[in-house]
Amino acid sequence: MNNYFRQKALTAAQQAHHMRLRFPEFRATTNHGGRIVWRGFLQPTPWSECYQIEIVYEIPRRPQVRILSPRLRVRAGFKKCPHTFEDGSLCVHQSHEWNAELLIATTIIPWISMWLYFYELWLRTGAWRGEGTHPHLPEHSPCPIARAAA
Amino acid sequence: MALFQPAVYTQDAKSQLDELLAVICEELQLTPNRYQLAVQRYGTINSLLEAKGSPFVLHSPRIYPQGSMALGTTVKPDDSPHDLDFVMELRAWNLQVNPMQLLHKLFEFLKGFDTYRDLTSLKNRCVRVEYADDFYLDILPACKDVRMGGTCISVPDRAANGWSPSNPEGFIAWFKRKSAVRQILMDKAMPIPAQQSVDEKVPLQLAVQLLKRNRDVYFGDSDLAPVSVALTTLAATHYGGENSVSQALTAVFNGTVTAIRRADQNGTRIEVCNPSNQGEDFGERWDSNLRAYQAFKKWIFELNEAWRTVCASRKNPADMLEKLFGEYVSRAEVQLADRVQRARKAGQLGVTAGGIITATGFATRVQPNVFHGDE
Repeated sequence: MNNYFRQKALTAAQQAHHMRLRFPEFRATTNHGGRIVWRGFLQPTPWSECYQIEIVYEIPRRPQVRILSPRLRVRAGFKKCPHTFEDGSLCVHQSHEWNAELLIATTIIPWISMWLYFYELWLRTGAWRGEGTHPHLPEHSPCPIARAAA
Repeated sequence: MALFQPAVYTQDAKSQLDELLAVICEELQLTPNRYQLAVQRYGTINSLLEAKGSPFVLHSPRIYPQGSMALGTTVKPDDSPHDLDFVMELRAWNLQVNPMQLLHKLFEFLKGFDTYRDLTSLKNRCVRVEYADDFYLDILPACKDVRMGGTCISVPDRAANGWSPSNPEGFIAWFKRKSAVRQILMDKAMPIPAQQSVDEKVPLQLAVQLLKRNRDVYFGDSDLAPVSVALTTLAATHYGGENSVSQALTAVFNGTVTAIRRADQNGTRIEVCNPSNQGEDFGERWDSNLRAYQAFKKWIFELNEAWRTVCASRKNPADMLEKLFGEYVSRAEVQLADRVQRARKAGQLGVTAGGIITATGFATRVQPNVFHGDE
């Protein structure tokens, strides 16, 4: 794909419109045209925690996703949560899977819910069943349910 | 085994609980391989008993499964072998046959085969064939019960040195009637019904599996443990046609607790008779073993309380469920997550406005993505 097509980033207004439409609980706390910050809540299953999420989007860069509350926990025996960056923000996709032509409301947000679902199971069982890159890490092994050992 | 079916979370915790319980039951039942093995062995013994050299051939023996395999309520035992029961019913009246001779004849006949010589033993009411790989096949010889008629049979009882009343086919038919909320249960008791996947099972069958599993966890190998057929009878008696396994269990516990209290007031024990043959009392053992009855009551009361807490929980009750059903719970959670993952890859999932993962159609679809990582 050449640069000409790469210029077709959706505007902040377009992104904000679709967020309001599909996830009305998310509020844009900042919207300067080039930078938009949303805060809102997601609960992946009826039994789950209700997580407060912050999404920082500087057009056209990769949206940064952080869980504000409750704070992410790390299961005993692990150094960090699977599929997170060093700064604690979530990696919900591979770099080629998202670009500024896509709606955050239809990509990033559902991916966060999926991430949270698998995160909760990982906390309880030590198994990350949502696949992803790094298949060599222990949580991706076929039978990592080491509950007793944890 | 169940075909792939996307987990469909709805927005209420009850459906989520029912979904988890159904997967626990799937983990609990005989694996397809073990099931096949059981069917194969049943077939082999069946053909021996019907073959020309068999001393029973003149009485045209009819062999059929009874108990959990026929009811679709098998539960993997923790350490003990899996026992599968079937009946060898002779076309003969009980008055014409000596029960002890019948039992011994069956025992001697099977012992006559090299294959079975070292595997066969004599039990109180049946002949047991014990395979090296953790399987019992219990064969219960039986004659028709002249007095009761119908599908009622008489089985030898060494302790009583005579006949004992039974009606396994009547019991299966009764269980089937009691459990019908949808019309997809066992249509016939013979041959062994193809093992149902959990999706096809009705709530009562799942409730019985869970009840038996909790009995195993609670009692371990204690001889105070109530027998499966008593639990199955209580469950079917108090089940009220609920279309949800969690609610079915609530009904069963409430009903049983009430029945126990009523019996206590009357200074008796609860009645657990085979509804299709009142002469067969599944609670008989409690008459001679008061400790076992006390232990049963304590268990049901505690279970009833624990179940209320599980159903009222707004958080994931996995820890509570694990106390009740053991390690099958975390295995079931992982199973469920794998279904979610497959559904996600197939583009069958969506997310509601509140973020709840659900089936597509009324939600924002989850686009294919791969969780990346930072190292």
